Amino acid sequence: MTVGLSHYLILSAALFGLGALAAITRRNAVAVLMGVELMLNAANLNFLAFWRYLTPQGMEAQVFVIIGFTVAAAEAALGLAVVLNLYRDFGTLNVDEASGLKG
Amino acid sequence: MTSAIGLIPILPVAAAAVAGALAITRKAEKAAPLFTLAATLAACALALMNMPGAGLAPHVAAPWVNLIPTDAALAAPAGPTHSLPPGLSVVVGVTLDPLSWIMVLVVCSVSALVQIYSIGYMAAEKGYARYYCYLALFTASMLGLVTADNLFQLYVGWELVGICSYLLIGFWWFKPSAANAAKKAFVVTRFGDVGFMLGVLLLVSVAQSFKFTDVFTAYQAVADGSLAVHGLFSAQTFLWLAPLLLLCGAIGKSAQFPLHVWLPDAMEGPTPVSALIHAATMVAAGVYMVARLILLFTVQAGGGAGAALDVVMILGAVTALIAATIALVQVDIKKVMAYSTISQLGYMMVGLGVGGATGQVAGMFHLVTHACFKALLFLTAGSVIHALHHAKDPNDMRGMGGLMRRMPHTAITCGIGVLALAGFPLLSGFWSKDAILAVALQRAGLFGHASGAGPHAQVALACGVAGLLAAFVTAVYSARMWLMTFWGEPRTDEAAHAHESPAVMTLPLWALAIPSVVAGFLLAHGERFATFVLGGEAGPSHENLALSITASAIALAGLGLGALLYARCPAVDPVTRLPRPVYALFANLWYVDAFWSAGVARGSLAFGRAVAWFDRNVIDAAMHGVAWLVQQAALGMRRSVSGQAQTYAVVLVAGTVAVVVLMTLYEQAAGSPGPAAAAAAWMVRR
Repeated sequence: MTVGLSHYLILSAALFGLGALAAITRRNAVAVLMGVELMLNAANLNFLAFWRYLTPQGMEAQVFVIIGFTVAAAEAALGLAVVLNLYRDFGTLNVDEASGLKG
Repeated sequence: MTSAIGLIPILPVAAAAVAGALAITRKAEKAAPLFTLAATLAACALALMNMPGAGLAPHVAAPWVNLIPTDAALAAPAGPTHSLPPGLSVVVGVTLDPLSWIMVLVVCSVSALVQIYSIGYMAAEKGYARYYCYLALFTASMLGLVTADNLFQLYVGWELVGICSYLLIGFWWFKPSAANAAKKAFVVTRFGDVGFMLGVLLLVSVAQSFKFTDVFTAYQAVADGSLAVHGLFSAQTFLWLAPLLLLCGAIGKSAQFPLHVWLPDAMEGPTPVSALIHAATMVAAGVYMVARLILLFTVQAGGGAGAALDVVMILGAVTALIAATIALVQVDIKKVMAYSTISQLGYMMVGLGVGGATGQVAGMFHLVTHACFKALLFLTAGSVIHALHHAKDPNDMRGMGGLMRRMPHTAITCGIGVLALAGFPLLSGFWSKDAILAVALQRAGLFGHASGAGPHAQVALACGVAGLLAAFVTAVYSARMWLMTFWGEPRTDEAAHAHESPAVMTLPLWALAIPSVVAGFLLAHGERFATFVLGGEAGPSHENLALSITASAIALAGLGLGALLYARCPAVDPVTRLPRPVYALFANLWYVDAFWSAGVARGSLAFGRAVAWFDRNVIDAAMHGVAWLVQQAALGMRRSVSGQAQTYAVVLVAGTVAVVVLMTLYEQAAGSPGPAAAAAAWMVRR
């Protein structure tokens, strides 16, 4: 059995689903951030799979992936800063407590 | 000197400005009458120096004052013909034809006498210079009105005298009754002025000019059929509508039934003001206007009768009779005179209603004599009120009596005025009232001049008879007023201790008493007045011995009845012994005031309340309803904003999934590749 595009897509979909599940269900802010990282990496994996199998002559996918890394790094830095402040203000990392924008 | 007549209305304006400056700075207020009196006398002198002769009327025009620009950019749009034409210019002009000249003399002389009289009457009042400022402004406005040679100036003067009347009625503005009376006078005359303005616009739209002569020519041309009327109205409608609209203005200004209700209230102003404005001059403006434009009322009549003339005459007769009966039961001396003025203005209208030069001469003749004796009567009333100003109600005749011995000058001059008013033989009122009754009854075919035929003659007959009846009532209430005031014994302490007014007040009384006696005879003798007004072509004399004897008999009978009833100063006023319903009718002012307040004032209030209710409960409610809906929707949607970022993420994911699922289902149902399948197919093809 050769590994084809579909396998990569299934893997990345599964990764994305797990990331989304973590981001939605976990109460710990750090865990939520980790879920988001998983989702970003699933998207990166998708980009590379499509590049490899569909447009191997182009460079766009790699550029996208590098941008994705950068965004993920920035997001992690920003996200951790938010988490730190969240902890300082609420004394907890439970995201349910941070509902100050409730209508 | 002819060009100097342009100064006639301007001089009093300058004096008003000076008096106004004195009033504002509160310096040398007592000097104000010097300026206003000098200006009034100068205007009078200018008029005397430019007396119009036969076929010659001094006239100046200022053609450079174009009130409506000729600029093509401002040209009126084409289309409806009832619009002012482009390039219509108002040439401001001052004319002194016989009609204007007479009015200028009446206005200037009465104004000057009233100003002299007021030096004494207003001496103790605050706002002395303000009073003279208003008086001079009124004089200027009235002179502007009567010297106008076009409808525009006439209208401007018309409104200005209205304003001055408002200011002077409300001179004692701190008294609520005076403030209300001023407002009432302004609003009630406005009812008529709206009609007047529409009439002016209608005439100008057809004549394409403001000048009286052009308007007459155009009106005559429409009547002949040589000028077509386009637009809203047919020629026939225009011919009767235009004079009737103008008449509306006269009804308001000259206090004719049913708009006379403002004049008795206007007595809240200082008494000299009542003499000048509400007896001699301003209220005569309506009569003057109809006389000035009498051609418009008469042309349509042609050989037969014109509806406009009938209306003028009927209104005049109704006013004369109703107001006389009301005057009969009043106890306030100024109210008696106010209703008497209304009644006499009605007489003038009856005279004008005969139409043509005949009616014009009769109406104007009575205007002139009435200005003399009614100004005199008001000034004597002012003298009495001045003497009794400590009394609780100085105007109440029931608190007077016996003033003859204490105020001989006032009593005698008032007696002269009363006799002139009642039409005592050979006094001025006798001649002018006689002239009016003569032209009316002769129009009806009585007393010679068998010209009576057609419906207009029947109207003239009815109105002439009503005039005779009103003359009787006039004589009775004149006698009643004089006897209640001056005869018998004083009924109050104030009356017992009254003193004659100073010479500055009694001299004007005598100055007016003399013309009240002789003016009628001098002017009527040899048709002098008619000859002058008509420019040297007086028609046949209307004097008729039989009618004069009849009218004299009626006047003497009325005076005699009044003397019989009041000479012994009965404790109970005999008029209250009239049959109950009759007395109630008179005392309740024929329910005209009640009609206005119940029917019109309450009606407009009720209408206003209905509109307010609609506004609150329908229009506002609709707005509030919309706002309520938006608010409720917002409150509902607010629940979805939980503040939980994870909840939003769930909705986001669920929504994305739902969209993908729906797209797939759609593709399967349609059997054709949708966007998702097309993307997949593209990827597979690669």
